[in-house]
Amino acid sequence: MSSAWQFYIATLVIYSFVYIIAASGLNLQFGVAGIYNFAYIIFQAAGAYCTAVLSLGNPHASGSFQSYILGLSLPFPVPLLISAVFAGLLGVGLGAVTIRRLRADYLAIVMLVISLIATDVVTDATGLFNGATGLSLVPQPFSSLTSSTTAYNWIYAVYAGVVCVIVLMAVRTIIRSPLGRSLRSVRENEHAASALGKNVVGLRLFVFGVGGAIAGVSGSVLVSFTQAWAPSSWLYGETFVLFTALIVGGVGSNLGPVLGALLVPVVLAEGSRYIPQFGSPTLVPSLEWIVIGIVLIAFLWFWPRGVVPEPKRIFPKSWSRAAAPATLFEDDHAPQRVGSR
Amino acid sequence: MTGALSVMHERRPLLSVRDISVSFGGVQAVAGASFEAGAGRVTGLIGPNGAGKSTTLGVVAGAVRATRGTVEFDGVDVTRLPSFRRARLGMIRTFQLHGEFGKLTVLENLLLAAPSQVGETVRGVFSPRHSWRRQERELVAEARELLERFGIADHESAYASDLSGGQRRLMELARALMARPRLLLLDEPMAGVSPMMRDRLGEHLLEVAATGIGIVLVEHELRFVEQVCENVYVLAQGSVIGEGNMRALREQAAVLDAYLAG
Repeated sequence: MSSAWQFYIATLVIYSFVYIIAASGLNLQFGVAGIYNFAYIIFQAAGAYCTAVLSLGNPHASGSFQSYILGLSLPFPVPLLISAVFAGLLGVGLGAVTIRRLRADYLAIVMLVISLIATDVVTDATGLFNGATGLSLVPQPFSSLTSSTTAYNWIYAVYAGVVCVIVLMAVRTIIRSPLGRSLRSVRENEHAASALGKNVVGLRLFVFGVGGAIAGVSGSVLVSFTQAWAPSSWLYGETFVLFTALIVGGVGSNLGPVLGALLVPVVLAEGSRYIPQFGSPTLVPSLEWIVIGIVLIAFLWFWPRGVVPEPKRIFPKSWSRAAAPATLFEDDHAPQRVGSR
Repeated sequence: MTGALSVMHERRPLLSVRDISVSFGGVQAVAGASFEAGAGRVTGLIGPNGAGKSTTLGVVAGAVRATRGTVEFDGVDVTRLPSFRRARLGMIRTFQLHGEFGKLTVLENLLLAAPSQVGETVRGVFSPRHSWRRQERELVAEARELLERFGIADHESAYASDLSGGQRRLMELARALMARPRLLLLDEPMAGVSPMMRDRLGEHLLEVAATGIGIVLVEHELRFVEQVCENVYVLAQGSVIGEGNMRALREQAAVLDAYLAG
């Protein structure tokens, strides 16, 4: 295989991992907890910008052509970890403002508007992250290991893969736990969940934070690879690509986001490169969006649970007591007194 | 002295609702309603459509905010507590419609209700020992026993949305018991339930009350109310217009005018 092909494939692999990470975070928010976060992409952007300004160094040193805040030179993996925390806190902050009083479609509308506002603010406030031009020359964390770009890509693919596996395992652990069950109860019926003692706002804030942190990680991994990040990288449409990926792959399942991320952003988007150019120069890129939209509608219409639906949780028959107690309540299940919990 | 206090404590109602009012815009849904419910007893709230029964139950459960009045649970003012905090104190409600978690299995619906689960905290979830699994195993066993008692054990792996109306009622009651309640607030538990299932549900409610749990139920089925309720409050236009057992209520002119004769 030629070096160019290896470079290309390694790049695709890295992008696949980034999309899988991002889709997993959205799966936790939308698939498991039922939150319509149409501003999801801004958390990826937050992670990317955070990593950039924490590793780019002083903007005034050596006559940098970019203007941005902070300008630290923190060693890898500190920027990644701080980016995750920052995006998570941003999620909690935005969630605290929005999800207390907004539900479903109203929340979706507000989050979409927040996404648009965030893009405009970052574009117009050029002192933040260098405006519409964006940031470039973000340091590569493993550049000292090899001088070959292809080899570097493979090294980076391994790193992205390790991060992806860690994120997937964390999300899987949450989904399969009683905490994941509580999140699903909020998705299914928030009033009933609250009536059973579930802190619905708290659970939503938690998932806003964790989902935001995961999106931040995906942005951090991406920007350290592409070395550049600008408002055009995180337009609101990118959120819908991830939603489509999730709906195609299967919401609420562990494998759904993986499959969806491979099918939609990678195969569909990358596949458009192989369509011969015809018509106006913008026609083929526009077709890509049209196809994604059609796929989304088709799945919602005909296959709403996706290729890998949320699995039904079946408990082993062996998890039963040998003999049933004589009364409804055993001693340790006696009703509790006020304030005892 | 201690003996006197003890007697006072025993006589104190488990639930005391005083002078609650609720307005939705210009509509007064509840207007100064007061009632009490005791532990180990089934208390009924009846009244014609639009009397404010479900809204009153919503106020007690914390789902609806009262514009005036207080709700005391076991002597503690819970008026300003959100519904999930009241539930954690043992005030568990069921819903008139759509109270189930549709795409969760019947068993999962019950497991959800169990309080103080280790695996519901971040620390518990990521604990290297997975200590929540042991608790989960015990809860599954407990939930299966409840499903067995309510006759829906065969449906434990079915999605709750696939149950019949009556089965859902049984599941909701079993789920409420899984939450270790001290007070059950049931909103029209007979709605959509077949006559055969009605008798079964009534027996279950009396069995539950016999364990010391207080029950407040809003119900249209008066025969069922008569069968299970020791004390009944009649609401009309948001106010309590009568109290007593069903036989006594049938003889009250105000009640007959507002409800029974209508």
